Amino acid sequence: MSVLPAPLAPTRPAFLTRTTPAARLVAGTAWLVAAIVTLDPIVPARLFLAAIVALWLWSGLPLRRIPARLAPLGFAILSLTVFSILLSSANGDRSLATMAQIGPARITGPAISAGLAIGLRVVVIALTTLLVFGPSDPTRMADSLVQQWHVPDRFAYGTLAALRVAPFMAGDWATIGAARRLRGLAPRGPVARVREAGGRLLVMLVSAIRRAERLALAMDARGFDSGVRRTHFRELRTNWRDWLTIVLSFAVAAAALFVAR
Amino acid sequence: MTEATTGRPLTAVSPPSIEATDLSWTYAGRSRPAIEGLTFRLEAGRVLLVLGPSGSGKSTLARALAGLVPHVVPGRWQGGLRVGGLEVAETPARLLGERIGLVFQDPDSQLVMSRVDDEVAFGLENRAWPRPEMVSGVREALAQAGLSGFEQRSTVTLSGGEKQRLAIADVLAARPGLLVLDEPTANLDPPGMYAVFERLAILARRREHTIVLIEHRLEAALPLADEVLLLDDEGHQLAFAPAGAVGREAVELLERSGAWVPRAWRGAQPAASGAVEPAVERAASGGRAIEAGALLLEAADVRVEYPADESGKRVALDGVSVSVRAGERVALVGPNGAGKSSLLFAMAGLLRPADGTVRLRALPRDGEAAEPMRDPSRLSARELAARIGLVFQDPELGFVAGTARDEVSASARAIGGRDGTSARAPDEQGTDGVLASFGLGHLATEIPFRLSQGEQRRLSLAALALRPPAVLLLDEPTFGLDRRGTEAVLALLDERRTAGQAQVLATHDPRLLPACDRVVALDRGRVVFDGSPDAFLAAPPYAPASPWRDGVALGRPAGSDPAAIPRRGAR
Amino acid sequence: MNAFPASRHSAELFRWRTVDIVVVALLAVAFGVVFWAWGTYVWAWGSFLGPQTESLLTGVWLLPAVVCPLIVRRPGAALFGELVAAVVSALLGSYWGLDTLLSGLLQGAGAEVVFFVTMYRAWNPAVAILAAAGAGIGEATHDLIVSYPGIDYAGRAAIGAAEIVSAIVVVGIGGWLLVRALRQTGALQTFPSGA
Ligand SMILES: Nc1ncnc2c1ncn2[C@@H]1O[C@H](COP(=O)(O)OP(=O)(O)OP(=O)(O)O)[C@@H](O)[C@H]1O
Ligand SMILES: Nc1ncnc2c1ncn2[C@@H]1O[C@H](COP(=O)(O)OP(=O)(O)OP(=O)(O)O)[C@@H](O)[C@H]1O
Ligand SMILES: [Mg+2]
Ligand SMILES: [Mg+2]
Repeated sequence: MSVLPAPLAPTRPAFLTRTTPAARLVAGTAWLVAAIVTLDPIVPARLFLAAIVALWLWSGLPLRRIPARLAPLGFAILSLTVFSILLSSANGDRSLATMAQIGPARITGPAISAGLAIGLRVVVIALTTLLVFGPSDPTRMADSLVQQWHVPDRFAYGTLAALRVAPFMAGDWATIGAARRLRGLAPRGPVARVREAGGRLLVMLVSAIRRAERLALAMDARGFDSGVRRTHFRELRTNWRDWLTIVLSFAVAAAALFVAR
Repeated sequence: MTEATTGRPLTAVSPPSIEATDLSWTYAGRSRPAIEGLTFRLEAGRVLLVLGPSGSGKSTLARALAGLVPHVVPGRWQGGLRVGGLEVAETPARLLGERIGLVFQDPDSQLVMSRVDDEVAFGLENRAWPRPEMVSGVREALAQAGLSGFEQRSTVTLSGGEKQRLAIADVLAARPGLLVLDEPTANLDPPGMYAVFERLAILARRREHTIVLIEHRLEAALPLADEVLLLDDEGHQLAFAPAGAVGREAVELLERSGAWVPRAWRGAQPAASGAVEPAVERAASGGRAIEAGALLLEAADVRVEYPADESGKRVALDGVSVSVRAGERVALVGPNGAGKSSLLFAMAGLLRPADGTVRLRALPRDGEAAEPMRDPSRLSARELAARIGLVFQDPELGFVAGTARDEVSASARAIGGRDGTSARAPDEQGTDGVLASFGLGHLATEIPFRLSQGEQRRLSLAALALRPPAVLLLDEPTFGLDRRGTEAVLALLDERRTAGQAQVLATHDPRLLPACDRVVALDRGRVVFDGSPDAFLAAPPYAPASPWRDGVALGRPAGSDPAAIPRRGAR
Repeated sequence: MNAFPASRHSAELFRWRTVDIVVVALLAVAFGVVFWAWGTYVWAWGSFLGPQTESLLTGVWLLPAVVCPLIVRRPGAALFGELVAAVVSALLGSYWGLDTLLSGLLQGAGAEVVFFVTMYRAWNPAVAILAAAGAGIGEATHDLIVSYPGIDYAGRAAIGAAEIVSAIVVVGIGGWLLVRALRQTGALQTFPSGA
């Protein structure tokens, strides 16, 4: 029934699965920033290589499932790259040599390189996200944010509880649609279709609110709002792997940015 | 106090007494109180069974005992409720929460974390248990609930019964003095239900907990109870008495309010004239106009798989073949997780089988050749709706209209008059007649989402009444319903079956089996039995079989003459 | 202990109940799922229409920034809702991933500023539209820096304008209508917005 992709969970123990999520967030942010700050394609290209190596050697993720998972990305990269090239401000600069001429559009070298940079940037962001979120589940992420960064635990675990329900909601969406179909509701024409989708969305949101109310009640019944300082069943501490990950990722980001070609 | 603030585990919480004095509660936005004028005193360490029809305020009382009412839920509180000497309305919810464990009606709504061990630990973390004690506490609680080895499982993939046992483990882990259980076995298979009642019996005997139990399986629950509290449909107290000495008058009032009443009580006092016989008996004695006829639905070699998770791909159904004929009612039984819901979904074309086929067709009319069997996923919505209907476990997901009245007429309006069937557009009278027959007449203009759980379930059935499909699939149709609701459901089903409708009921409720023509039993995704209810009850195809046999017997009066057991055809 | 008092004290206003936290988080999760589906199935195709047209589709990302505060009426709801929705779509494998956190932060902040200016007291359509515009400005700021840095100024102005218009229509008007529809189902009874 589920329309969501199965989670991409590590299939073997690896270096990154033993780092804490907070540390990976810091490390990943360094790459994100490095990928965003320049329009030089060489920077994201270097980060891309680094990300591939890290995924391959240290993430523990099932590598064969990654390409299928990222496939929809292809469209976005293609369109972002093409339009960034076509609409680049560098194309208006008469001092630059024309690399190609498509109808009225003149394309310059810097426009092409900026377009490539933007396309590669998206790939790097996607892979970095996998490296940050992939090696551990959301529970570890919440544990980590609460224990290491002192994020307010009611918000962190409230969100986590809501996340648990996410697969249900995707199921709900399918079930609601099926239920309406089984009741003979088959919208004809665009207006009816939009109304039907709206009705379906409304039922899903109502069911989400109901679930949230009952969940909150159950959490309060188990002392969630007690004001006592919570203890932790799964303890997380910043370890040497975290520091190594952070230092290495910053070094890679710096190298990608500043090492001359 | 100090314990509470430093949050050390309260290993030796003594069981509290409960004292209500003229207690009333009105939910914000409601004009009538949900409970009114409750006055009783339950001694420490005793077991209280709360009985009343749907909407009588049983769950509301449970919430009040845990302090959720009035501290979390908005509304108006009157009178007093003391738990272990603490006045609930004046004690912070967190202090109450440390003494009270609450298990809710619906397992899905009370699980918080994604993994089983985290889930049990959640309540202990909130109570600031030190880590080593949490680790052993989690292990013990899971063992007590029969879930050892489930530590790493994702809670999403548990079946309904497994979830409910997990919810009980959650509560036991914190070792509360007061245990409040709101229909804890509603979703359990007979062995699971047995395990829970056995567990409760041990807890009750030890007298280390005061226990408040809300339960529809009265024959199993009554022997555990020291005291009973009877509520009527307006939330008034009918009686508070020792379980063995409930006055005849109170029983009659309870009976009239539409609640389930233990047979032992009715047996002891011959029912007053007009008192309602159990719905099942009536269903069983009603004759049928036509015998099982044309084949309407056929599932052949169906295999259903769910996507892989950490513990591998789940095969929910493996080579299941079931056929259903016109005018036939089939009960679908099996342990939690056997694949009953999955089979219903596949039959309705909502789950595409990985292997095998599902075919169905409309009810052939007199003198016409039957149409060919067709794949449900190839039918248009209108064709499908005329052929098959599914009542989901969660009725809310199926609502399509803004008022109860429109909800009932929606299907008929959508299919009405098309594809050659003899449908009329529904008139308001017909619609309101349907609502009234389900006891929903006064709610015609209400918004479906605002109805109580039992009312929603009845509405979801009423919605299929005007344009009945040829095959009706029902997932736990009587779950959470009181006697009156169950009767309404069975009366409707009887009427439809007489008209040739085929019905498939997935159920854990043994009271329904004698009212069915056939039982199909599933186990781990395979059909292990397909035959008459009598044959099923004589030799349940499960090992050990005794919980199934005795589990069914729990629906009968204790020690009664087996010949008196309601059976189809036995008059 | 009573139903919602007509006016709430500020201490009470700032204290989120568990139900407020979970409802905002869950709605955000629902939106996160929608984001993921939108990003995967709609946006990816829409992006072939070019940045300006595609920018008209971006309003959907901003729904939590307005819908969540309109329902629970608590300070921080816009920011919290957008962040959770972003985290969820990142967890589901939206290819923008980490970057959605950044844009979520900016969008939430843009709407939050508007609600802050009203002191969390006004919840009418005008405020909803202003908050939507605020969120749209946050979104445009992010996109012009991260996604379209190379495009000429006229192009970028058009993109920014398209995003803000989209925000106002989809989120300001659409979001307000959505909350009204939810209230009519009786689902918001436990919140100040449903009383
Ligand atoms: N959160 C709520 N807000 C408003 N009304 C409510 C709420 N919860 C319950 N009610 C109403 O209060 C009354 C008592 O409900 P309650 O859930 O306590 O009944 P119950 O005896 O547990 O019924 P059932 O057997 O169906 O579970 C019903 O009329 C119900 O509609
Ligand atoms: N969405 C899902 N994803 C993964 N596994 C699932 C899903 N739904 C059900 N299952 C698994 O499939 C099996 C059959 O489940 P199903 O819900 O059909 O059982 P059931 O007989 O209806 O159980 P119950 O009596 O507890 O309702 C179980 O092992 C269950 O854990
Ligand atoms: Mg109840
Ligand atoms: Mg089931």
